Amino acid sequence: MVKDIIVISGEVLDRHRVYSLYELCSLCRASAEAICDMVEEGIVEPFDGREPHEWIFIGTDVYRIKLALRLQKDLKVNLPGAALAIELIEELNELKRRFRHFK
Amino acid sequence: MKYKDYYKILGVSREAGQDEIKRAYRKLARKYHPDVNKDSNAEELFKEAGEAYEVLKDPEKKAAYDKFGADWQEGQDFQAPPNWKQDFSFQGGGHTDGDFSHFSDFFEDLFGRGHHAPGAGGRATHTSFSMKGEDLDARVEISLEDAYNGATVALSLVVPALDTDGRINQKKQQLNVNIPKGIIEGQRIRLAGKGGPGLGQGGNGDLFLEVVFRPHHLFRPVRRDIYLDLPVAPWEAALGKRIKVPTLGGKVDMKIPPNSQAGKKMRLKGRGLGRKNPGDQYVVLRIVNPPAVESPEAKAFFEKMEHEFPFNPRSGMGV
Repeated sequence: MVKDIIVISGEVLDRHRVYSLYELCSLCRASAEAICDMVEEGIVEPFDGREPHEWIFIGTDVYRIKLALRLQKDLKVNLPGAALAIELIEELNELKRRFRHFK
Repeated sequence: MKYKDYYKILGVSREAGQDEIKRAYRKLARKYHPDVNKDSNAEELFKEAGEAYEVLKDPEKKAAYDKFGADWQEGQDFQAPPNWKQDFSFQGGGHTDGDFSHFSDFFEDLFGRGHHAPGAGGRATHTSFSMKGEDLDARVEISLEDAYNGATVALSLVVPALDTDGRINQKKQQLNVNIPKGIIEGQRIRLAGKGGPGLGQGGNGDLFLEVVFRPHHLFRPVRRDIYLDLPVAPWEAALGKRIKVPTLGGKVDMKIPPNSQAGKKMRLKGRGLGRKNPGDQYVVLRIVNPPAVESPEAKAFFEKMEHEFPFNPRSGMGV
């Protein structure tokens, strides 16, 4: 008997997958206020839409928001501190990736 | 059960005050935070420090813990004395923050399981309480070829799962995950419902997979672009030539223009990664000489060039 292999597909969190503010809240377990604060701080930027209910975000914003929430909770950094840390972490990760493939 | 030396974990003495304990914890938390530190043991050390801090920052838990005395060693087999809890009132909850599902058996036996899962000792069997399961993060390492072509990878993960008593335990899980064609390094794939189990009516959490590429013997990915160092003979670079170049999608023809120098970068459009509008492949020329010492013919040729062809590659350096 052939055993079926179940292959699961997810969604790639890139710029081709977009989310509303409401979807982001549920996915990141964040309040709309918390995400609005992050928009104000420049941690994420709506890709489209003027008012919060029209805002459209891209997939990479999901893990930026989750990262900001974790940094605030685990390390007690405030929002501007989280914003700075995220930029530095992303830059560091990019450099580490390049270095790794250069070796 | 193994004894945990919370003072040793935080690197403080048993006489340390609350300020020192807090400083030591914050320092370790920053150092080992899994978003900051990608070492494989960082997450473990981060959780361990969180557990130690949870006990040592709370005067009541600290006092209870200190009652065991200073003679215990980290990792030593340990049994709490009977009735040792009766002087304290923290059982079954009252923890402040931290992620209790990751605390050790040692912590759980001494202090209970916190307020995340209500019920005696945190077992969530008969309750109307609902909570969505925890989101999990994991990394999946794939080859560049799999990223370019798309693939199915088998993943083996240790994930939290509810056992028959309704208790959350760690369990091995096998998943076959579809990696879509053109994914780039650092992107995440969200697998809905593949995270930790929910309690009550709360659904499962999600699993977020970060894609990492195994280093490749030829190609170097930089975001959506692919870099390749291409060896060419000196005459190919000098005279120009149409040659075959490997790409992730197979061999392609490329024309090297005459007078090309080492380090020259040439672009093969659309031969990189990306789900839509793929990046490019950059070919960087590397001039390779035929070995001269082993081959008398090659040696004679180079000597002829040296004598008949005046050329100073360092003229721009004033030497």
